[in-house]
Amino acid sequence: MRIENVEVVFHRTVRVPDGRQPSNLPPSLGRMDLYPVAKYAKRCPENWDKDAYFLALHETEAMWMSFRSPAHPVAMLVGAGGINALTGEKLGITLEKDNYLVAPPQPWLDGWKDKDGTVYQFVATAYKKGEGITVAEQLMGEESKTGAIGIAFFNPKDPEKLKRKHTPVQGHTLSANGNDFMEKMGAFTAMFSSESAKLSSQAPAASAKESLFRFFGGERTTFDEMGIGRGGKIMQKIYPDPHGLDVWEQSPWSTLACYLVNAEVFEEITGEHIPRPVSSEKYSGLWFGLKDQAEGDIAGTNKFTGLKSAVFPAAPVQPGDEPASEPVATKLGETK
Amino acid sequence: MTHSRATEDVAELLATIQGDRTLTKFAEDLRVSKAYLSMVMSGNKPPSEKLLKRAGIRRTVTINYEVFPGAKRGE
Repeated sequence: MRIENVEVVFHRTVRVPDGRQPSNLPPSLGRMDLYPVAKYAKRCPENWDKDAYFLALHETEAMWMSFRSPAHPVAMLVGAGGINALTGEKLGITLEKDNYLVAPPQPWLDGWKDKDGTVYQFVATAYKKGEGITVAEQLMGEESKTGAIGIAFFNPKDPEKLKRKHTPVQGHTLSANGNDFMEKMGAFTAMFSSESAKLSSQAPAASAKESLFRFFGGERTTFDEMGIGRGGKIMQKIYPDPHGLDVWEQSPWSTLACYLVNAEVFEEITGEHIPRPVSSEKYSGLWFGLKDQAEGDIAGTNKFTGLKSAVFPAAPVQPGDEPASEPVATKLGETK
Repeated sequence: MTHSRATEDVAELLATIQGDRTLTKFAEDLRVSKAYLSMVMSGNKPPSEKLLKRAGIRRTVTINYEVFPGAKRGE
């Protein structure tokens, strides 16, 4: 989606292992389509903003966002369900130290920021009006009113005076924890024509529950809202603002609200197919990283650490006591 | 996407404010470069807060308080 000079893209991706150690950056498995709420107003919850958009995700499907601003850098406050993805505080519209990212240099965001050069992957889960396990519902309870992604965009006061800081060099590796990197969004394209075909052939058929539902003539008429939960750890830095707080305008020039809906229900109502999610166990393509050892990382927060995982909600949630779903070999920071 | 004033709207407003003035004179009056003003008026660059202020345009962004619960009303 292009918002004036900024391009924000939501990518489908591989769900990383929900283990103790972080994974490399997962690839893009394609852009997510955005649908205008106005076009589907009768199918959407009443409280949804009619000028906003929505996208469809499967339960426990992972996603990430990419940002491109060719004209000049922009500052962005990013969150989901009303929670700032970098601080764990309520998402507002005021820039404060380390509560926002700047693109460039920040090329993408894969999850909720932790304190140690990592993020917890963005993973979709049902939004249950305060009773679900989206990150926002766990942190805000009934105060949470939506699972939507929110982004507020800030321009520099004087774009011409701003020195551009480029995105660090990218690389890829063949394993989730290797360290031989190439480009995340470009290099995979050719490989993916065959990889996507392989993945789509593995897509499960409609579930028995869905089949029964259709057989007995049930018909869903409204979308089920989703939110963003906490997935496995990924090595990703959020670069500190290279320009400083003072260069940015005080108020956002635009905001984006993007709701999330359950893909199965969306398919049932619209007949449109939404690609099935892929877990790391079934994925054999490239993983990615940035050669950014020299770059800084914002403070982050431990507010997301003890939260329930969207993938293994019943698993232990104490820091350092998270489930290790598969062995990993890379030490933190080695592959950056 | 929720924003009440897109770049195109600002360009239109600026054209109205410009009136009969040439672009050069208008840029002088607003104390910005002609090239920058031209970019803004053609919709290729977003207007800076400074430019809006000098042109007497007040920006209003609609905030969805469910999506941005940390925003204070009237902020």
